[in-house]
Amino acid sequence: MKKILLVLPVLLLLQASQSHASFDEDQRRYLTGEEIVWSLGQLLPLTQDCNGIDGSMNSQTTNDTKLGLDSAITGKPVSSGPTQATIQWITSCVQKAFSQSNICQESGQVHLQALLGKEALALVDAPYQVAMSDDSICYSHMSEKWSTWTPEHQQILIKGMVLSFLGPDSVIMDFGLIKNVDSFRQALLQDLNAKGPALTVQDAIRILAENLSIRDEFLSY
Amino acid sequence: MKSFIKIALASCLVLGATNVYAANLQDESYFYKISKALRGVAPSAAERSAFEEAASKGQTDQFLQVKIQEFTKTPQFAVKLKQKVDELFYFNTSPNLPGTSVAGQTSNYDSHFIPQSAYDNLVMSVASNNRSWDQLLVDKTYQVSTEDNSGDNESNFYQIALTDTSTPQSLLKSSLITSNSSYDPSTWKSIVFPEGDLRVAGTITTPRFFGRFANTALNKNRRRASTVFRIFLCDAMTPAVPTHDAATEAGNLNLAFPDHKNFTEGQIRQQVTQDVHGQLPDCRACHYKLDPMGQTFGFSAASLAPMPAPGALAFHGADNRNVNIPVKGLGELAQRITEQPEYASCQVQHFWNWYVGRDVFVSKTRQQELVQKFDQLGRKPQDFVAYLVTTPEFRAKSENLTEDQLLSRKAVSILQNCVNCHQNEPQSGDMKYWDLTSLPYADTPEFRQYAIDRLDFALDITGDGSKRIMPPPDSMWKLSNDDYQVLRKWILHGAPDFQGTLQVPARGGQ
Repeated sequence: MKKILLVLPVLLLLQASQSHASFDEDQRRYLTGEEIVWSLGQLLPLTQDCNGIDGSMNSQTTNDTKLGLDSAITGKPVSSGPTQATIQWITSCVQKAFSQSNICQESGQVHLQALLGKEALALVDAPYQVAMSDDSICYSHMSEKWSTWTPEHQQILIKGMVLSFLGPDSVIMDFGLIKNVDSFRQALLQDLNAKGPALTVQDAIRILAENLSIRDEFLSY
Repeated sequence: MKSFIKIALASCLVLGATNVYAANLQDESYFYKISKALRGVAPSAAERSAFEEAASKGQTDQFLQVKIQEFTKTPQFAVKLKQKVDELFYFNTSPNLPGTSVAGQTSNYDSHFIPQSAYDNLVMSVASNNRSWDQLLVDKTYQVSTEDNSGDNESNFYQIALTDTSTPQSLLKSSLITSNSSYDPSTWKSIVFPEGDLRVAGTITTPRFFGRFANTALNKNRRRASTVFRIFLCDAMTPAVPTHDAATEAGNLNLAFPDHKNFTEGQIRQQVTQDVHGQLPDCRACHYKLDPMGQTFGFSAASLAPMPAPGALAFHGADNRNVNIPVKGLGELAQRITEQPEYASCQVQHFWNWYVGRDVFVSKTRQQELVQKFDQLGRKPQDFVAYLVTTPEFRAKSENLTEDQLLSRKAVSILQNCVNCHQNEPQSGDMKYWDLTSLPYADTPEFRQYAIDRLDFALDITGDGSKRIMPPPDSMWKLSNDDYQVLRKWILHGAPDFQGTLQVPARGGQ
């Protein structure tokens, strides 16, 4: 199962690049590793070790590949686009940001607002506005089963997260990879609902963040 | 009326066929692209709301103009630009990733830049203070750290040039060493050389540049010279391919293994002491440029030379003019480089590649317009980038390339290998070896056909490749089977240019 989840994002990226008759990767301007951290940091409480750097002595090439850097020897990018290592790094950053002790702390709650959007946060459940000041209530809501939420609330949350990560519908359409944003959001909803009854709200938010943070619309322009 | 309609329709088709980037991004998409291109992040929720409010009042254009100016003044913009310069210098660009953020705030991003060296501080000062881009070459002020060993080395790098007693007093009089309290008063200091100092030249007289491009006594600073040519004049200095014939091969063998029986010992000793490096005809193609510039680096190995070293700026200009300017030192060399049109067009090309895209075609005419704008804006990076992101090419929504447009790009990427070797050959009425990447090859159909036929003959593209005369057998680059297939298809399709327009009639077939 884990392997499928690992392969799926790669397939999404591959699909993204195949949809353009481009001259290699030139038509897609990817953010640098540092900019990816900046962008994730706007939405998630990143942890200290989300730096993509392997501390071992002989890992410069690995780091360069992961972070999309140029080789100092050739002056050319080590990789023409995000690699599997890049995807693993980004998803690990997202997973660590959602650790129980992090997302409901004060700084994490402020990110939650940026992550879900005011509308989603306000419409999902009014007590959430009160809950932001109380960690235990935040934890409680995060622990609820995703299946207990109404479809309307589920869609509002998904819409808010897509807006935060990828932008408004007009921007997504202009990017050209997603032809119908409603269908895309519906596909995300179906994917979450297929995860089973054990899925919690926090799991759902985390999975959405993982999926959206490795899309070309988020990583490039 | 019917004729008019036909002409109008035909014009629309032609325009549509020749313009790959026909549609523009919508305003909000353009806002997203500006934000990511200039500072590396998408607009925040608050910025999106501000945009929507401006749009509702019909003030989108003014809003975007304000945001462009604002984004170019952010620390993130300066950090991004510095990273691009680092890549240009082939410096290690490992980023500083703290892995933390502060509740979506962007004001702490300036802490991501940690001054480490004189080079770092100089580039950041140009990027963040909107100083002229020429300062990368002509600046005479450095901020160096004295906190750790690397800082001590940087101070020593300049110290020798300042304290050498043989230096004429006039050069020392205005040199200052002061304390600078930007970060810690005890750990940083400014080193200021006089305005006309012949020994100092911005980034190329920094310890980092000297350390990255170390030289030997044999190499005589040619490596540093080639780097200066690559970065500031866009001259790649590809190794020359020697001619391959029996006479040349015999001559090379005689050089390597001279016939001692016919030489006296004195003659042998004299021959050994001659420096043949860089003297052979094929080598001269690059060495006539490298050697005079390498001389200006003088004896600067681990430290800045106390005395300027004379040399020259020599190269073959784009308009066939021979540039050969004697200079008294690196400082004057740097100044002369900034005065060359090739320098301006090269730097404009860098900015175009960074912000608009390497894949976005820019004609010679368009490049001249951009160079004029670059000069008009005082060569200031923030202002020029702010202009670039308002160009139609930046705002254009990239469309899928047609098969012929993609084919032309693939063919040119292969033919670039030919240009790398042949670019230094003198232009003749024959095949433009040095310009195989500039499509179309000529204005007249007859010469375009001639050019394609010559290319086909040299590489035996439409044959089986067995009769090819290029690349030479001992060339470091060889055409692969895939390369042949691409070039064959390109020629059979009529050698389309970047817009997909056929240069010659298509022959059909694959």
